[in-house]
Amino acid sequence: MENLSEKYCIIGVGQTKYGKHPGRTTIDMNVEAIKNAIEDCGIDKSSIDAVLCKYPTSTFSSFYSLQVAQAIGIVPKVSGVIDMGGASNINLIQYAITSMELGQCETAVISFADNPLTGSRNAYTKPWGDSGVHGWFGTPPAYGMIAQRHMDLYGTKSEQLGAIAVAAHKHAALNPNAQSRKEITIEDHQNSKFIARPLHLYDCCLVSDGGAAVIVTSVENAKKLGVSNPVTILGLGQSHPSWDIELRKEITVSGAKESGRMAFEMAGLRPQDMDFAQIYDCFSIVNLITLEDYGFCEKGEGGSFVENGRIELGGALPVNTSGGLLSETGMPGMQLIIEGVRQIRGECSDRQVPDAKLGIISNQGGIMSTHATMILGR
Amino acid sequence: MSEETTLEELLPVITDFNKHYYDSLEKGELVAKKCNDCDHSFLPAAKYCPNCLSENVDWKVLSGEGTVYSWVEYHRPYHEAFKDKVPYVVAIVELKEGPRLISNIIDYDLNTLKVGTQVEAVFTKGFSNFPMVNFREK
Repeated sequence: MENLSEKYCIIGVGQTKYGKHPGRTTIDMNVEAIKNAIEDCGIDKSSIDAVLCKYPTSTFSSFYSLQVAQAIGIVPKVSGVIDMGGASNINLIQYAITSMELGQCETAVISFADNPLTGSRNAYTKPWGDSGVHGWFGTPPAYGMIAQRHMDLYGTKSEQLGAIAVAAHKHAALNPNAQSRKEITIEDHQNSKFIARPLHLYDCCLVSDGGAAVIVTSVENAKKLGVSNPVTILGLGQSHPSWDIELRKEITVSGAKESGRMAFEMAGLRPQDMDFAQIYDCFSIVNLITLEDYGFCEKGEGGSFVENGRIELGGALPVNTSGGLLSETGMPGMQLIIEGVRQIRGECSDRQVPDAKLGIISNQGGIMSTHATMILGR
Repeated sequence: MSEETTLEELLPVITDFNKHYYDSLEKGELVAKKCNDCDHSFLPAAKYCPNCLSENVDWKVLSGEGTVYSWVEYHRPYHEAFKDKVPYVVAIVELKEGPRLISNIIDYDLNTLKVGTQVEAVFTKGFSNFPMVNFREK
């Protein structure tokens, strides 16, 4: 089987402002993000022949990608929605590439927009399955369940989760696009209220309105389109542990383990080759577990790995250089892809990782239910 | 919306496959499905064994003993029905016979509640007198 590493690339990235967008529809935020991605790579809109979307998490809507295609005036050869939560973005990039391999399309836009901040956020607070009578609701407590087991099994401390929040906020302070640009300390983290013990407020991501989009094509086609700075896709992976967390064999192990293995194998690279990592951090514990499962440290050692500035800019492995979900925007994952592209292009100004050539991006969804990985390079 | 209507949305939907589970809780018995072909015990109740996909599954009565697989303490209510109940603990309990379920640990002590803590079933009534199984430290 042909290894597709280095055959495809991301040529354009675009986003809306992150934060509050009262009164706007998710469709028009998708359009704004796509318009910005098209301007970013300078291609003609008519080059796009595939439109792929993650539907807005807060409000399901059927045939969503065709609603977006219609709004940007494109009749796509390939279109669709993948229902894998935050992993959908990278899953959709993979769907675009496989469609290109089949010769069905040449240039794809992948986009997402949602408005849980000024619209509905019921999707994040509903009861789980039949367990509403036990008070089993909401996303933060489900991740709290995962964090507590990691703490009890490995002695991971809340202050170590705090180090992840401190790094994210420090990076967001250098990012003019970030929704929250306030630096915090470990003490601020410890003094913030419990949302669901053991998780404090600063362990939890922001709630944000906004949209983001990326444009993918082959390296060969990028040349034809005259794109000056494509960022190459070196590796892809995915793995999806389970829906209900109580039915998962081990909740402190995520899909990152198998997904990361696939992506590193495809890229022919190892964790120590990465110049940076953009790790899905809807909750601080997810960042820690993903770093373990990708092999940056051993299982159970994530707590000490993230301490002492190792994951901050200037540290051995800068993680979430734009602030991640904790501090740039709570959007489920597309922003991490965009930041990976910008780091490799060297466009990140005050938060630029010097000479960034290789980076890993994680996307995940549900309650560590799904996982997708992408390795980018130049 | 009346209070009863609000509470109704928290109650499980009773189906042909789970009715016996809740009827048993009412009698003070915790039951799970057991596959006669591969011996797999499982919850939640389903028509097919998720291990071997056999339909040859029966109910069996469990001991009600288990250990805490993990737990979380709620500090904000996600539903008005739980407004006066915070803080409370939701846990994944791993039963001695294998299946895991979501439940509450009642009368808990944060000094002793840990992954691996041994617990036993306590049969109670929830909203609208709905039968429930909770757990407490042994």
